Amino acid sequence: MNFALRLSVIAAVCWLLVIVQTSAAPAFPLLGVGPNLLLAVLCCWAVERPPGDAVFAVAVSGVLMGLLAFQGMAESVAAFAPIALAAVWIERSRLPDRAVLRWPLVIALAAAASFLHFIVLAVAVEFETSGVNWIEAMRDVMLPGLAANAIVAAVVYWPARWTRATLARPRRERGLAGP
Amino acid sequence: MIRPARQRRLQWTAGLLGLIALLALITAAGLAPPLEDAASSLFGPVQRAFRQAGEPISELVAEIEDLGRLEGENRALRQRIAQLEAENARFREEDIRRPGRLALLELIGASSGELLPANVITRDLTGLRTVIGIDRGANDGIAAGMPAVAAGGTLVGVVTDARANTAFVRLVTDPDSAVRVLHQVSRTEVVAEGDTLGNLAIEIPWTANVELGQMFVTSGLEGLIPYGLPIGRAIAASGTAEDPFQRIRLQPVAPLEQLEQVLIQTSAAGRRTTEPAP
Repeated sequence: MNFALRLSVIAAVCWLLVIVQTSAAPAFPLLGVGPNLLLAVLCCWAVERPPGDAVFAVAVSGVLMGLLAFQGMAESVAAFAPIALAAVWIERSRLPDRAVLRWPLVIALAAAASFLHFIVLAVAVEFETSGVNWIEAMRDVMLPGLAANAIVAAVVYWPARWTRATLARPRRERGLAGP
Repeated sequence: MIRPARQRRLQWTAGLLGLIALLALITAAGLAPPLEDAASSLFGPVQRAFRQAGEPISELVAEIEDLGRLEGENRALRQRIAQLEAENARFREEDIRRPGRLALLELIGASSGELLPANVITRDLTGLRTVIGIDRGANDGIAAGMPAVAAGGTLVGVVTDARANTAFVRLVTDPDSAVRVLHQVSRTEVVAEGDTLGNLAIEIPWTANVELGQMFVTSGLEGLIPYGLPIGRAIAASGTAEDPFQRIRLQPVAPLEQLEQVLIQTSAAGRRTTEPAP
């Protein structure tokens, strides 16, 4: 897949995920909170795809979330930025391409990214409003959100890995080659 | 000399930081709202379609989770109860206020405010605020400060930001929300405030003798919010007799978590400017 087409596909997938996240996802609460499907997919992307793709996906997703949800564009990109940095770190660490290693990594990354995502947005809310009750917010919003996103990431990882592995195979193996 | 791989990583990191700074500048310069409005206008119908498509599935999931309980019927009944409570509160309010009604009508005129229906297209996703986005804006006559009400005429919140085709409504449970309310029994006026956990609470003197279940309605002494809209009923009380005030938690009458449509009162008619005698 050439560079421009790859970025177009990433942007389209991000757009679709943002639409789902801002419209349908809150109707499917997990552990009492709406899970962040977008964050879970970005974490899978960071682990399974080259860091360039993850950085682009984070930037597009952040901007679109800022435009379509009630949160600023800069805050949204900043809230997802740790995922892009994790993708860079994962590439640098040259982790073996084995699901048994990468699956726990995705779960841990989703949990850590959820925590940082919450902190960035809560700091923004702290400045915008009369203040955040941090203890209760962490107990009632952050912890359930962290667990829910980790669960979603653990499930989403497998189709994401399968898709990557399938796309990586030559067209002939996938039965897409012409006569 | 920096190796290519490291250089690429530095470029990505710097690019991301640069993007965040650029977006912050765009926001600070006031260029973000037109972009957000255009995006909402463009993708609002898609969001609404996804929301509507997801509803039957989410209801099915909820029914499975509830082990056969009919969640849909329950929701409909709850909405009906909320409507009846609102009607009941209004009738009680009418009884209480009847002596001052003529003076009030003379003061504000008998015409009722115009109600503009609007669909909820998005809501805050941080879990720390309760703000909704609607598919109507300044082009439809919506302006900041206008009240939003739910079915049954219960107060939902206030429009805080009206753009060309979309607007944002700050719900009564938002941490920035503060609505002047009246204890229906004692006629004590206090301020109901939200918090980051979506609670609605007041601090009221002990002399008001608030009992759980009693209703609070809008006092109408601020902005465009009309008088007498039910807002919530007392569900929990805290504080000791040594405190001058007791803290009462209110259960909003409107189903704020399940809002799909709200009505924006686009006219200031019905606003009260002075306190009529009870």
